[in-house]
Amino acid sequence: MAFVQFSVRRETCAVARDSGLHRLWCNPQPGSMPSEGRWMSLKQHRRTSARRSGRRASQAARRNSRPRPRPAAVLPAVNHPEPYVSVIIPAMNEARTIAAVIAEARGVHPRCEVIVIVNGSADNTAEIAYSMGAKVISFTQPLGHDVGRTVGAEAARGEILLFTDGDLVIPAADLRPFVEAVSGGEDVALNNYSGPVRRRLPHPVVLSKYALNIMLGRPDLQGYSLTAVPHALSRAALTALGSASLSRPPLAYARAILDGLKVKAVHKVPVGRMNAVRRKAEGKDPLQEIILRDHLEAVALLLERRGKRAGYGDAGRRREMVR
Amino acid sequence: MKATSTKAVIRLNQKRRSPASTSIRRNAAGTARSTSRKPAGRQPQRLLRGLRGSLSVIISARNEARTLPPLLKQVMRLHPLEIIVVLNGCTDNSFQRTRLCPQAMIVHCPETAGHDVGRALGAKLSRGDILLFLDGDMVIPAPLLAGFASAVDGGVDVALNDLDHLLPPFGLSDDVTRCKLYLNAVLGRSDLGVSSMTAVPHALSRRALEVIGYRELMVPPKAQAISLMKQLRVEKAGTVNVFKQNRLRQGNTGAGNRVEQLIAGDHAEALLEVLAQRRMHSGESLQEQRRQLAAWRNGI
Repeated sequence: MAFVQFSVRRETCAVARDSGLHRLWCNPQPGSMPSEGRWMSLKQHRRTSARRSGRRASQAARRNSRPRPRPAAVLPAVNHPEPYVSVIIPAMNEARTIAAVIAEARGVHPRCEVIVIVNGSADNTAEIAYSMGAKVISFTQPLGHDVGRTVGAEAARGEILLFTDGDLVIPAADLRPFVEAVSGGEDVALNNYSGPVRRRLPHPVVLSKYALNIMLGRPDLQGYSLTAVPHALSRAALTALGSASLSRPPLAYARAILDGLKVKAVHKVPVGRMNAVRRKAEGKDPLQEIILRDHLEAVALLLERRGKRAGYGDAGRRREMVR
Repeated sequence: MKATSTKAVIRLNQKRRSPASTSIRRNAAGTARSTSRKPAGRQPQRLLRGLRGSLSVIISARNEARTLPPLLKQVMRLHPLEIIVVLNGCTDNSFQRTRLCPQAMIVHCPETAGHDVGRALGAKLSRGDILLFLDGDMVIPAPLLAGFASAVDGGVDVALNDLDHLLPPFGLSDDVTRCKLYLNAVLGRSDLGVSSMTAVPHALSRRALEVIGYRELMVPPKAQAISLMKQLRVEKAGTVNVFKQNRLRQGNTGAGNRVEQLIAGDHAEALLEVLAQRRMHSGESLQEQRRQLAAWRNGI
């Protein structure tokens, strides 16, 4: 009996229903796919080799996993002598991920250099990075949060500086838009990601980023900032901001907007989900404290430059009426 | 003894009320109370019976002829010491309508004075121990208003409207909400959520007014920052859904509108006040702190 084969897989049935075609269950051809039958449409009789050969037509081949690019096999494993893009990767005990991070970084541009700033690492992060052909700047002591970015920016020779992190393996395809935006004329290309915003009361860091953008008169930038990697800077932006300022990203960010640099959010990489969960000391995250204070200082810088109302008007308040 | 004195007050109230409003009340009370013969005055007596301090109600209004009379009626139910109505650039008959309320003290500014200036003016003129601030565009039932006044009477210095649970998810909220949340967070009072002196109704104690200074009430977020930094008791005191009733005007709708920009500027002023009070850490100690932090994060 042909109808014994009615135990079709669920998804096949779903496809048939969704496509709205009336289909007929047919006998399989002898010798082809003994465990499955084949579909035949009553309405449409498309002549495809698929039907003849017994493969299911109009259905994409099933994949068990998303295909991953393997750039290490095709791309050069050395830094370009005259780089156009410098990829800056601060790393601290990232031996597990650093090889993949460098491999992806090589895929952003044919003329690229990878700079890994290894600081305070007790594992073999530096050795792995070196074997991958990256320029390695090593420090035995931890430099401090985001200080590696300054060191990397000083060593960079490219026209475009792409910042990422040693613990985030971001596919090259997700890094390229930042490079493309800067080569297309932007000064600062930001990650189009604000962090989790579904709750009514957000995380303090997310809130700070949003508030800073409002104060800067750029609420359209939502919660985007230089605090989140990846992002790219032009050489001109680096000269304007100074590499030292990159150690405190919110301040560098505020300065970029105040100096009138072209800042644009170009591509979304939801790094929040990739980030490792860190330990907390007595429920308080000291990193959070620092980020919050940096944001407040960015507001201070803004108020210094734009006046006490940050450039916003008073909507015709006659303050002299109350004495 | 107590019962009879209460009755006497009720009679007095009924006499003072115009006949028209009395009849409306009787109708509203329905047949259930028809036997008791004193249906009208009961509710107001319960509202703020045990108030120790005297109450000043300050209403700022701009062309609110339609909502002012019913609002004043609700305010009268609180039996305030005084009602100060600041009419700010009114071109309709708000003035005439307000004069129908015998207790209302009217400050009439024929020209527009700007946002929140009326509050400062009213606060300067007030004499009560509790200051309840309202806007003329919103009729709020007296029992809801009573909550703010009694919170201040119970020792709170700044009693704010709690709108937290009415907020949309943060990603969908407006810039005003974000500014308010941020200011409270910076001042270490994330628990206040979005509660702000920018929103009405809110109430102040006389002490709060003296500490803040009535002029600062012109910029409500700044007043809030000062009250938090000067260790005043700032608390949520009740919820009045102002989103639902807020009158939509030309300047306050749409993203990046004039009111939104004004409030962003107000928060900038407030943050400047906070920054001025706070000694910023020197760069060197900060760097050391960052280094230690990085070490801690990586378990060294």
